[in-house]
Amino acid sequence: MNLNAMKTYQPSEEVDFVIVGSGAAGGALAMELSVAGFSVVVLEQGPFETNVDFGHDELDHLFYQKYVGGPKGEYPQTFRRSEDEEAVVQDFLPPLLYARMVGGSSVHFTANYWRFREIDFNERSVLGPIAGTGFADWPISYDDLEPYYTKVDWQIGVSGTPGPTDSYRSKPYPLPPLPVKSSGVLFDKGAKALGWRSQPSSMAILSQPYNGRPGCVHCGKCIAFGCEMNAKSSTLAAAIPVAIDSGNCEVRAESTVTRIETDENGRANQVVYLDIDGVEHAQKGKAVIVSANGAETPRLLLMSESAQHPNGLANSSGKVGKYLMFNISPSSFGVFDEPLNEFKSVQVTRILLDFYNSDPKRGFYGGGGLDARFMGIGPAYYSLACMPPDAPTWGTGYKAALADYYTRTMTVMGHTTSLALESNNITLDPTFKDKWGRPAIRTTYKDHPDDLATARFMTDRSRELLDAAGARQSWSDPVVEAVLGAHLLGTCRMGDDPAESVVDRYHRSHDVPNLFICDGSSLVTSGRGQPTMTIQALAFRAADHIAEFARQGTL
Amino acid sequence: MKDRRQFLREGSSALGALMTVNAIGATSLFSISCARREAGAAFVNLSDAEAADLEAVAEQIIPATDTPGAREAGVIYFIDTAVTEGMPFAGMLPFLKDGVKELAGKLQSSGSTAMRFADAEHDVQISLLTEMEPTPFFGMVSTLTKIGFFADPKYGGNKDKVGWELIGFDDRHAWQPPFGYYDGQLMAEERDES
Repeated sequence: MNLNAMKTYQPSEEVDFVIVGSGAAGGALAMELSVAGFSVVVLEQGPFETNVDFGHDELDHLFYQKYVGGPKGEYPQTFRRSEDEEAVVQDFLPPLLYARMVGGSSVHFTANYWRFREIDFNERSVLGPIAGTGFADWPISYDDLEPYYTKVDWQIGVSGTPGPTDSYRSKPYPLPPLPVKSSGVLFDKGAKALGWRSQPSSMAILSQPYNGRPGCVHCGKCIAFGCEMNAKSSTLAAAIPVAIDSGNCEVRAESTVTRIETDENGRANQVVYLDIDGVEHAQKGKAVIVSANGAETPRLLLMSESAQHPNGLANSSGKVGKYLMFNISPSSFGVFDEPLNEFKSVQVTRILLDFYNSDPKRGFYGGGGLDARFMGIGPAYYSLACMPPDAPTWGTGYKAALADYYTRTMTVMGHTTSLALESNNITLDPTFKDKWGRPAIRTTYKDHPDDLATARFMTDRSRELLDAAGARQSWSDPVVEAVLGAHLLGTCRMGDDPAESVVDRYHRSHDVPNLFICDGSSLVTSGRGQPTMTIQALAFRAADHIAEFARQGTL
Repeated sequence: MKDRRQFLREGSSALGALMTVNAIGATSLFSISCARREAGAAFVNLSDAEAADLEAVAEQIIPATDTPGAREAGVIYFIDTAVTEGMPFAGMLPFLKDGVKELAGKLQSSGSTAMRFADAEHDVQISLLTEMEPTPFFGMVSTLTKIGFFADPKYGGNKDKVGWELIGFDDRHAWQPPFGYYDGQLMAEERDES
């Protein structure tokens, strides 16, 4: 990537596409559209860091929230469980966990890249409605998305091998699975003993050199950290450089978007933003694509209200911000006799999807997957949060336990469904503002009882698996109502009915013909955790159709 | 990132409420604390007496055994810098100062001849800290001690990586399989079979 040769545009130049956000979706869209020959400006509120800026400092990343919350007071977020409560500022950790930088959360994610399955797209038709929820079918199917999942595999770089119950794929994986860790070997052992079927994980991390990027060196500072090797397949590593090198794309970082404006014909015509010094500019474009993530995107649309759009831009349905879904990550820990050394290498090398489907016999809706990993992301975090509940918390006993457990512990983490509820949503906080004067993002969230039941079910499975693997000691995290989420889904959902959705099946907003929305907000159902692969496939598909509309003159 | 709920709930709400973050200032100011530790320099935010008491508390949280504890690891230098105005844990400083006074008060009532916590006998220290366990002060010192013991040595604690050595963490930048015992064993079995 040659940043010195990056094409730049004047804000007054009407480019073909202005894209808000450079994460998993925005980065992919920027790449596809600029390679197709369109002029693209990407506005990213965070800084343009690259792999040479990344390090392994646990204190910086986890405790000082280098990528995630940012300095206290600059980006306050508020949280409440329902409308009946007052939302309070939640700082450590904020309710919405996302990275503010070029590449977005794809820089710091776990890189679990599971495809959704056929059932995720038409589950409502199969199971029937669930009263009191927004449980709905997607307007597209796995078949529609499959070619784009495959594009993600080959263009972004995904390592793995097909599992026993995976949906069909039109091409194999481009890269073999990453080498198994001890947690994976034990996971396999436990699964086998129970008659369950484990499989190598599907990871957006290069297991060997690919597309001019080196393979993973197993440094262990993966989740929550940027990859110094560019082996983790963030859009920063895999898509942004391609976009820039096309000669058609400018990535304008430190640009905080405050408003999308429309003209007298109701078409989006410019995106207003503040530069690093707080000076306001407006980038003109023939079309606008919003990919700011499932929390920032609805906030921006709600902020962009006008006389024509009194409830916020593209919000005639009233669904902008609604149906927020987090997924749940129920987990158990196990300690074994010999050292696993899970502080090395990537988080996940084995997964299990036997419990993917919802089973009405269980008495609640929901399903999920399990993975083998280690939640002790760093030694300090481990010492505070990853010890057995009955271990001493200070003194010689605590010290001895630390020394005994650290290298011998692993986590089995579940990833479960969240139901779409209108009462779970993103709104503008009436009281607090961020450093730029934007209304703070207010999260209202309370898990559906079936979500908690599913989480408890998967907690039991995760524990069962560790015990079957021979753990000498195991314990589980209690299932409690969420106060935060890293998966920000559902808040500008796709659908054919403009009364029930925000965008159509091509991510075109129902209200504004040249305004597209494509990111985690597009998801209709939550999937079984690991949404980024699907978000990115949607982005590749959206790019295909949007490019076609542009060529046909039907934007 | 997703599983910090437990940590959040158990005593870190005080941590969260009081953390102010200034990431840019943090790194540069912290790198100075390592140098101060090496030079045995004076403390910035704590009196010598307060530092001695807090160091004694930290030493009970992670004591020296056959391997170094918090005192030898230089944790007090981490703590002193971490509570500097504008730094991430600055809000904890008043609690630390008040807590030290409370310890002195309890010491007096206990009938011990020691005037300060740092001078009290081991059993007396343990007894007082056990009493203080539910307090925000104890939670804060405990949290700061653990973070300081395991953070990068440049932050003042974890001197000579003694914290990492204790638990078997190695901060090498690159690894190759086998990573641990169980995948190593599997690798050996597969090699024997072929």
